[in-house]
Amino acid sequence: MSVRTRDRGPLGSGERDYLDALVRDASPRLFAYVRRVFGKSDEVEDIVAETFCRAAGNLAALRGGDRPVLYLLTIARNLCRDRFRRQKPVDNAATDRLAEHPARPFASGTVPADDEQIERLQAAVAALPENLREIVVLRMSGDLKFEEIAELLHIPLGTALSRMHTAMGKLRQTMSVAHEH
Amino acid sequence: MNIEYETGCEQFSDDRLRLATGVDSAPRAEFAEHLTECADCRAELEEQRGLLGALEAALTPEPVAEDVITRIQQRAHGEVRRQSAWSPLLRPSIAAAAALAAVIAWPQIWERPAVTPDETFETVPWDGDVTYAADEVETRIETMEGILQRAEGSDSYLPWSADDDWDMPLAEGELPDADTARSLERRTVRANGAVT
Ligand SMILES: [Zn+2]
Repeated sequence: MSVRTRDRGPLGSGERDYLDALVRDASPRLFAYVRRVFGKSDEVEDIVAETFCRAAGNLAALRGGDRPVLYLLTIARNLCRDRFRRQKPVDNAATDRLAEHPARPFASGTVPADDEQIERLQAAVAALPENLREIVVLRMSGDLKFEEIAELLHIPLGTALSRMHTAMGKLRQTMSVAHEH
Repeated sequence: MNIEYETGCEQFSDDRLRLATGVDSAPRAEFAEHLTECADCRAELEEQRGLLGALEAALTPEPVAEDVITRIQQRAHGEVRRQSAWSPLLRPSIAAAAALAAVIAWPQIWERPAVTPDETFETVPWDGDVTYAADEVETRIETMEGILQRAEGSDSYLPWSADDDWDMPLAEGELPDADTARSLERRTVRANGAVT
């Protein structure tokens, strides 16, 4: 989808109300996505604001679509990719090693989702390779379905699920090791 | 995936994930039948669901402060533009660059959106009594050409690179972005300071 906008006229009051409500509704997800995937906390507000500026230039497309958040996340992602260089490719070695060490730190009832576990899990997510982290964050923070994630990232659904599977394996390994120490 | 499964479990790896993640709302018949008799697959499914639940708790977006929401809304309305380019640390140099630009009477080019570069040369005060070294004349010309880049298809001036993705035209009276301001500062100092 095209996200490049310019030379828009002033907003009508109905458009302005819609835009204001959208900022209020979608900002938390955009902040979470940019901060958790790209880790640039000092530029998050600027990127989120710029996302809405570009969306404001094409409100008709935004209002006509059924998932404005998906549209906004697409804009935000393009902005981030323009600004920040992509990180190195995935290290698959850790995933391969995982297969030799089964771990179930999250089986129901064995580990409560307490504050400490949440913090360790956030750190573990932050340590994931970017292409895995992005899937996890889009699902959990962006509240996107996997079909939508696949569309946003221009990858097949099976690839999105496969990356999620790999990410979950890495997280289980990390959390299992942390739990033992 | 990571357990010593009995024969057949591995073929349900995708089924387990699709069910745990909610991509499938119900297991395929074959997998459903396998689940009833395989404790390993049930345990693995529970583990995946537990992790996904914990992830949801850990990654739920935090609320955004009200003043931030307001700033974003205003900027999206077009009332505040390129605000974030003006970090407090850069403001002095931007102000200095703007002052320098004012001293050498170049700001008039910001106010005349319809002139071509050739016309603009005629508007620059070219002090008749002063002799400029050839390279300083070149510097002035280069600087002016840099300032006079336009957005493609636009009547507005772009005092930063046209390759820049952030090429919103400047509003009247709005200052150039930080990089351009610094560049302008360097170049105007040089042009002014080396008069022969
Ligand atoms: Zn099984």
